[in-house]
Amino acid sequence: MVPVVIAAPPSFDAVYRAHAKTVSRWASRLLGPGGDCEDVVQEVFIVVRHKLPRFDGQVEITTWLYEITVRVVQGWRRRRRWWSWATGRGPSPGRGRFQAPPSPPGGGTHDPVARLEGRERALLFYQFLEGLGEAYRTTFILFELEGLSGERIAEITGTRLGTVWVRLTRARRIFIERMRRLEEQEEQEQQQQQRQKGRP
Amino acid sequence: MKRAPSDVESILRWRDRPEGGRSDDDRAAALVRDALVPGAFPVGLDDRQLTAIAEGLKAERRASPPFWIRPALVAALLTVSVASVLGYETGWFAPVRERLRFRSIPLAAPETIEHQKKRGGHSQAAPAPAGQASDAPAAPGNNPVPDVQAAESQRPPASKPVIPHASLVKTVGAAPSRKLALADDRPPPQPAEPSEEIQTLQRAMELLRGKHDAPAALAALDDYIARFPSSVLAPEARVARIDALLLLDRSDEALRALEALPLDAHRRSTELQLIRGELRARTDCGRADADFTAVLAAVRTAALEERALYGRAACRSSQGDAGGAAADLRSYVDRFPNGAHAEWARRWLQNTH
Repeated sequence: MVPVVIAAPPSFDAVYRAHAKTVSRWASRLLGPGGDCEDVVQEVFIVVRHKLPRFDGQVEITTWLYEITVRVVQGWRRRRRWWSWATGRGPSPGRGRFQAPPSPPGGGTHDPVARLEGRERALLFYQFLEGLGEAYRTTFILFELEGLSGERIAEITGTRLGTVWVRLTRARRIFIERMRRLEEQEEQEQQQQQRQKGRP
Repeated sequence: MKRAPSDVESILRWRDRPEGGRSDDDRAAALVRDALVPGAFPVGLDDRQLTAIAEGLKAERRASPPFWIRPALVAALLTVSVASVLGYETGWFAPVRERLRFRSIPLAAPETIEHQKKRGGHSQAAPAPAGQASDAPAAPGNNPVPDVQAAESQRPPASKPVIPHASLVKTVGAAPSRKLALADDRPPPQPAEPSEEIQTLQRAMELLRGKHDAPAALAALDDYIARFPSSVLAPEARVARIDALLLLDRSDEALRALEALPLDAHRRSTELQLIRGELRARTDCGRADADFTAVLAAVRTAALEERALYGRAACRSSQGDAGGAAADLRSYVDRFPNGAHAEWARRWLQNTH
């Protein structure tokens, strides 16, 4: 009989050192511009510290961390929605805690105008996802931005593969609908401006 | 056709699509690529921020509560709840309730000589001795219901509190306690100023009922209804408005207002229904007949019954229901032989039969 060896859970400090940066990247992507990444990362690791003694290693630690991050981000966004509703002045993705876009270490552009445009387009991307259900939004971001596989997303979100597919398809459809709507609005505004210019 | 769930792996990510296309997917893919461009917005935290978070986490480290704390809390809450219910049912709290009840009794204000006289039915000006007044209960026959308004009107005005004189004012009951003496020093409560809403309605009612100035009353009532449409007194104001319209002989408007008014809840519902029937009778005898019939079923006063009987007879007559009209007019003559329309009713009955 082969003896079962249960590995001891890693120490919290080791997990923090190894994964804090990655978790912060996931949190940023899931939150979008304007999200309080520091707050979320801190909350994630508070949960990690609390649950780490019970981590049994059945799943990869990154999957486990991803799962916690997704839940914490969803909770944070829910709280922010509640706060917006209660105070009537909640931050939109573009009106959160302002963080200046960092200078790109490699790749990207150093042109401030181009960077500003890039930020605007990133804002637009997340704006199309606003109002989407948290599950749809998370699935969409994990698939499109993080590049995770369907199975991994199913594992992280605790759903079946079929559900992931349904959520992704629906999120994509809504994303395209909103993009079209915005384009139509812009087109109408342009036509209106041209008509105004054409007047004597 | 619905795609199989496993097809999720075969879905091409938008960001992997070739650039430059014009389809919806291509434009969406461009947006995804823009969101992925480094520097579009801060992605992740730098080392300084992560160090700060690590220090914050260390400072926040605290001992987790023992595992039994939650079950213990739940058990304690359940015990308290059950004990409260049981205690209430079995009377454990009776002494506490009794004490609370005793405390909640308001202090009796000292009674003036005038009140004593009214209560005891005495007309003598000489005050009774304090001991007598307190110990001898008034006989039931000598204790008529006091005229509160008259008694109140004899009191000094509230704006000028008068300090009661020892020879004129006697307190009822045993020797005055310290609390009663304190109560003596308090100024009498000021009458509350009526609210703007009440004042507006009072003004309108005074114009209508007191001065019989229907146009001014109508304007005042319209103003009131516009300002306080959902007030408790709004239905009363609407009824008064109908009265004003009738005074001004604006029957059509009065009928429209009556049609819009829910009559069931109003204290004058029978009378209002009769008025509605009379107004309807000029154009719509079918509905007027229904109103008169309902009034006759619910009527309590002879005046309303007389009008309803005559109205229904007139309506039935105009609708060609001579039998019904004759029956109503016969009832009318029997019930009101000296009524306003009795003579006419008799003639009609003679001519018809």
